[in-house]
Formats: sequence, C-alpha cells, structure tokens
Amino acid sequence: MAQTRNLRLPPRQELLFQTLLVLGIAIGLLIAALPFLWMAVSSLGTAGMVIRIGFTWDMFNPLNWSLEPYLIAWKMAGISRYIQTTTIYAVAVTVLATTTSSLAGYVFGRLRFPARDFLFGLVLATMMIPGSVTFLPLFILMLRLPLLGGNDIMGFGGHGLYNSYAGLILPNVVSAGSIFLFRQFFRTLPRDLEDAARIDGCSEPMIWWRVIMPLSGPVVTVVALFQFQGSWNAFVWPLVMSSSERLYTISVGMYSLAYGSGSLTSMAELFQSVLLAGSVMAVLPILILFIAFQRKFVQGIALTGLK
Amino acid sequence: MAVGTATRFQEFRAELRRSEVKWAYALILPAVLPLLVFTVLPVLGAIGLSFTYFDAFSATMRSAGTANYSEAFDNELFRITIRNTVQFTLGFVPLSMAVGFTAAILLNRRIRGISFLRGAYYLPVLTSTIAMGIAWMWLFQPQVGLVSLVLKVIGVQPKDWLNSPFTAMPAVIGVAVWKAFGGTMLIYLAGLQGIPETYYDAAKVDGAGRWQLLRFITFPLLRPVTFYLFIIGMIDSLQVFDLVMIMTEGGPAFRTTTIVHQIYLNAFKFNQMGYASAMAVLLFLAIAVLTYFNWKFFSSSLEY
Repeated sequence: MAQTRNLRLPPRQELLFQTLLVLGIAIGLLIAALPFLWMAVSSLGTAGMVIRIGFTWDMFNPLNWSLEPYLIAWKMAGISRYIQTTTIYAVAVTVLATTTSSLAGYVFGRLRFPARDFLFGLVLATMMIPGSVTFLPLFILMLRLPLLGGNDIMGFGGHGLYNSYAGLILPNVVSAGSIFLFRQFFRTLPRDLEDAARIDGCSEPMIWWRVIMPLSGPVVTVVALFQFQGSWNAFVWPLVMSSSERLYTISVGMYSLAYGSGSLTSMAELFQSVLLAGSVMAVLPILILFIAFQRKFVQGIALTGLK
Repeated sequence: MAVGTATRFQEFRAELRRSEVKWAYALILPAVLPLLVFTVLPVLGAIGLSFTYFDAFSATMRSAGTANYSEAFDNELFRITIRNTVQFTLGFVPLSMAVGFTAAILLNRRIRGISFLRGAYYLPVLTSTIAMGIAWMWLFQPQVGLVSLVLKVIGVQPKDWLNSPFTAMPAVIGVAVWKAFGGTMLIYLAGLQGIPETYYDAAKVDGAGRWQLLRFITFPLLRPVTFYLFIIGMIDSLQVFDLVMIMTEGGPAFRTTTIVHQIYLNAFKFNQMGYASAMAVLLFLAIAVLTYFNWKFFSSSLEY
C-alpha cells in the first residue's frame, strides 16, 4: 500500500488520471456492448415503424416495442427449424468430442504404451491444420464415401454423407486441442487413486469413468463449453455440407435469409426487424451460457491461450 | 514361499501392463482415427487434387500437372486476394493487439464489477460472426446507420461504407477488431497477472512513474505474449471468411475477397476444385510456416 502511495501524482493530476481511466473503461464498454443493445432494440420494431435502422429516441420507448418480428422469425422465417438443427448438431458434437477427447487425454496422460509419443505428436500436429484448409477435400470425401448414401464401393452413384447429420457431425467428433487440455490436466492428478483402483481389478475405461472424470469437473466444463460455443456458431462446414434448409444451422440460415434465398424476401416491411430478431435468437443461447459460466470461459482462455 | 509370491507379483504386474497397453490403443482409437481420416487425409487429398482438374459432382478428374499453381501466380484475382489479405493483416493484427492491450491495462485492477466489465469486453468473441455481421451491416447503413451518425458529428460525410472501394476493407477490419479484441485482452490480462508484484515495487522504490513501469517492466515482460498474439493474429488474418461472406460477399468488385472466400467460390460456385485445392495447399503452407516460428520461439525461450 505504502508503495502505491508513492505513485500518486499531485491531487489535481491524480484526479485527471482517474477520470481518464473511468472514461476509457466506459468507452470500451460502450463499444463492446452498443451493437448488442442496438440489435436488441431494433429487433422489437412493429410493422408501422419500418425504418428503425437509425437512432431515434422513440425506438427506446417500450410502448413502441413489439414481439411481432420474433413471432414471424420463429414461425415463418424458419428460425425454429434452424435452432432445432443447430441444437442437435451442437449437442452431438459437444458430447462426442468431450468423450473421445477426454478418453484420449487420459490414455496419453496416464498410460504407458509403445509409440505413445509418436501418436501424441501426431495429435499435436493436427492442431495446426485449420478447417479452412480441409473443408474442401473433406466435402469431397464425405460426398464420395463408399457404400453410404447410395454410393457404390468406389464411392460413385449417390451422395455419400453429403447433406446429412452424420456428415455434419462426423468430422467434429474429436478435437485435438481438447485432447491436449485434458492430458495436461490429468497429468496433475495423483497416481495412487488409479493404482488402487487397478489393484482392485478396475479396467482402464472404468478408471477413466469412475476415478478420473469425477475429479475433472472443471476441465470437462471448460472443454464442453468451448465445443458447444464453437459448433453453435460454426459456419463454413455447415454451409458446404447442407443443401436443404432442413440441415441449415442458425448461421447458415441467417446467411441465407440475409441474402434473400430464404422464404422472407416478400416481407420487406418487417424484414430488418425480423432479421435482427433472428440474430438475437442466434446470440441468446451463447449469452445465457456465458452469464452462467463466465468464470469457466475466462479460465479456459487463460488455460489454453486460445482466443 | 517368498520366491513364489514374488513371481506371482511379477506375473500380476506383467498382466496389468499388457492390459494397460491393450486398453490404451482401444481407447485412443475413437480420437486418433477421426483425426487421421478427417484432418490428415484431407490435407493429403488437397495436395493430390491440386495437381488435377476435378469436378466433384460428375467425378471426372484429369491430370493438371502444376497448372493450378501457375494459374494462381498468373491470376489477377489471386494477386488481388493476396493484396487484400496483406491489407487486412496490416490493419487487424496491430489494431486488435493495441486495443486488446489497452483494454487489459484498463481492466487490470481490483474494482467492484470488474468481472462484469471483462465479461462485457469479451462477449463479442463468443457470439456468432454471422449474427453480429448482420447487425453491423445495418450499423454501417449509409444514411441513418449509427456509424454515419457518429462520424457526421466529427464532420465526415456519410458514405455507403460497405460498397465503396476505399471504405469496405477498413469497415471489415473494424468489425473484425471489435470481434477479437476481447480475446487478446484476456490473454494479455493473464500475462499481466503473471508479472510478480515485487518487480513493480522495486521500480517504484527507485522512483519510477507509471509510464516508466509500463515501458521498462510491463512491455519487456509481456514480449512472449505479444509475439504469440502476433503470430496467432496473422494466422487468423489468413483465414477470414464468415465476416466477408456476410458483410460484403467479397465485394465491391472483389475489394474484400479473401483466400478462404476464393477457395469457397472456386470450389462451390465455379466448380474448379483443383484450383481451389491449390489455394488451400498454399494457405496450409503459410500457416505451417507461421506455426513453425511460433513453436521455434517458444521452445527456445520458455523462460524469460
């Protein structure tokens, strides 16, 4: 404390410094939050108020608000279907990737077996290969998988797993980054517990499920949250993998609405509010998760150094 | 008797070891197999396809030699794409780091509501790029959009920001920075909290002021974090896609098209899978080089 006092400027300059600080924080908050607030307010427009793009004072008057755009977005613009598809996709990816990654993390972190370091090096190497490099060949692979979706043994004749949930989900059933995170965490657990279980005749999957996982609540939560957030917002892969609206995730659906290939183009009147209502609904689940698990998200970033 | 127990114990241990090895391979299979099939194989596939003319729908393939690569280097549009990527990188990387660093300095204190503030700054990172891109499209609306209204106050004439050749890229960069600075901030915050308080105390005893603390302690000690963010920022800049798809569709006149956008267009709109694969391979090489620098830096200077 005494040292901190050393730093203080003369009272007047100190006041100026503190004011600038508060001002800076407030400006930052405004920049970060304003698009969200504007989006929320503008999405509540009524049919009578078409141009709500700009800032007018009566858009902040709750008497002018209406949930009509939400109803239209939900029922007519297909948002309910997009949300349903996205939920199935995101939950499946989260459950599968968290399971496979924690199993592999357990094996790489706790067991000894030939070629372990080589295999783990391979996993680490795949971390640097992003989806933007692989989505095109992966699309061809899914389209031409032999014996699936009407394809013959050479992979021709049908559509493979193109435009199916399996095609959407399969490439995301594991995450190399999560394997790494689990491995790092599991290595810090005491060895005695699992040895005791092993002497008692527990098999490895039982040790993973009964001993390791119950001790790993925090890291499981972090991985599951980021898996869910990532697949909820995913765009490139669902975009190239789906040809029918049935399989549009919320991001693909919103994109198709914005560029007029959806069913709403004739409703230009409400169009802006409806589109923004859809955007609010795309953001809301993540916002709720973030409010509920903020500490975990922040921990996850600090832990992994990923953005 | 004693010998018998020892032998039985050794047998038991050997049995355990064998079962451990067996289970190890079985349990990593559901992770390693998909990684091989869905990540490693596609990279090899892209390399292979980049030497062909390939049509995925009629499944016809002809050898192309290195024609796809020479096309990339002769192609005017590819040059434009590279130029756009360089411009995006030059804007996005320094800005997102500077804004993120400033935010970290502002929020690196114990005051009431600090975790709410950090959360609010970070929220844009987590939200859907498509949804927020739609919101930003209207914020950039020429006549009554918020950006025009604010800039009018400081005397800038309203424009059709997203459709003008000189403002489209800055607008995209601005939204990208808005979307990313929260992540940069959190990583800088973690770095700031890793600097021992005693360093500052020692400098304060020597009479250092706020600026000197920043200049002579914070900056040098955060250098590894800065380097990491610099490389990661460049890797991100190489892969911009969602944002330009929703905000500009690469326009006006390809002014904001990016490498991934070109891969997407060539593969799925122009049906030039071979050429698109060649671009994917070039992208992969660029990312591999950047990753190598990152790895090299951090394996040589883990301590500072």
